[in-house]
Amino acid sequence: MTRTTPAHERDHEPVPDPSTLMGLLHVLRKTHMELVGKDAAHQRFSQVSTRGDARQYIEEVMPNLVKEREKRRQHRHGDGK
Amino acid sequence: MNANAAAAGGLDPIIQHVFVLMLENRSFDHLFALSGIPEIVAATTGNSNTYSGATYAFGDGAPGQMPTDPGHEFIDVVEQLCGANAQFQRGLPYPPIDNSGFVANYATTRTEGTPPQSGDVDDIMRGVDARTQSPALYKLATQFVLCDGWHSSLPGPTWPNRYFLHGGSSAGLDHSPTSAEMYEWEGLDGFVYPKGSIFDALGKDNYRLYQDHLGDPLGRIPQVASIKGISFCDVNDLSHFEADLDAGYTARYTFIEPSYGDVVNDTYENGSSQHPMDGLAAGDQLVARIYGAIRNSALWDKSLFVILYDEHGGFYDSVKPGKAIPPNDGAAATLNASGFGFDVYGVRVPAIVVSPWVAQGQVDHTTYDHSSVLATLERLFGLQPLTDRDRNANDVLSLITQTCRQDCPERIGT
Repeated sequence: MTRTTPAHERDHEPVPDPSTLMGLLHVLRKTHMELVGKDAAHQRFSQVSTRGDARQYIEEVMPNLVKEREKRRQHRHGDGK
Repeated sequence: MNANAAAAGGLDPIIQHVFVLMLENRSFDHLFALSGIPEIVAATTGNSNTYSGATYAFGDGAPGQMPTDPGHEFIDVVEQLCGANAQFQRGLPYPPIDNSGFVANYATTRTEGTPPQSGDVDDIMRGVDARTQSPALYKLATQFVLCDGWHSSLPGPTWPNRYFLHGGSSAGLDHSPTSAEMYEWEGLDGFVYPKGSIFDALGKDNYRLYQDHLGDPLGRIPQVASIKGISFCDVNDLSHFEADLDAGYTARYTFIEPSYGDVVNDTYENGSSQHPMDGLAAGDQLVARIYGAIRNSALWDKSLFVILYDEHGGFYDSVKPGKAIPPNDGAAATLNASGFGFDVYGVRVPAIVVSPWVAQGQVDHTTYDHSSVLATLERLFGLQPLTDRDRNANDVLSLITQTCRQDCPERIGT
């Protein structure tokens, strides 16, 4: 995470369903479940209803997933790259 | 060609690594009709749509970023291809196609949000100047093979079309999946193909996944990770790509996703997917980076790199999509909201095939769809087809020559 997007005037709007945003949020939820378990992942995801919530969710969950991804990558390749 | 014909013909020692980059939402005519590339089948000013009593001819001057996101859900594409107010009727064939409703749909649909101002509706009929607005793509199109008969796999949106690339089917999905549908997939550990995906067929050691690491962090979520058996953690950061290629790279197939930009606000800005709401520059640079990495690696002489667009994004195209072979994979009707038979291709999209083993500046008129990638991989590496769609798809192996070119540019773009 090298840069965050500033808050936006649409943050109060509900996440459209279906939408690209909704789909990609579910992709994050799927992997978040791998890390913290189904119940905890569901509980966190259930708090997402607006675009602002979605932004907060991504910014909160993504760094953990990226860290885990790099950890697994190092394990796979054993080279630290 | 049967499943093992290519391998038997000796192509597998030549092409050992296939790379695919799938960008977003551009039609062939929008991107290449005005390129000046000889022999392409393309729109001219003689192609037009009529809406509300006015005629809108295809022409130049596409804006760098579209003012609003053109519709491209299944119901939108029916109207775009079959005329204003056309609707698909469950149980009936797809309505007659004449590509006459692109302007009408852009002016009125709300599937991607608010329609444009009335003065902007002709933007949907405008093409870009690929030479100046997407110079890396233009360079590759003129240095290698530009395909002008590549169609999206169904007349619908991003998600089912991307699923077709990965499995020759969308398991019946004909629309952008809803939250409720994706909750249903959770119990199955993700989106499930009745006959499995190409990743299942290849096995973990034989493929690699990457996503662009540049751009807005909000858009660095890989769609491919929605599939059962694929995790976000399986998708490598593209910053590793160049070094990986030089470190004993063994993957037969590599799939690369762009970053999608600001998905939270639906602006898609600061991504690299070339989404119509964003622009072409970052995606063009992504193409140049990937090409440069492969070109300057030890794998170049054994590589095939295909650049694709998932669907047309609502942009006008002049070629009528033809009949397609349904996957016939036993998918339940659950995800098929319209009752579509998957027997018609989607709108034509750009595709470029890059390899030192293809001719310079060739235009290929063969009909392809995204399952042609699967057909290529399967026939190259001796895998069985996943569905009837990829079983019957044309592959790109006929483009492979007997000569490894030594004149391919080492770098493109800036």
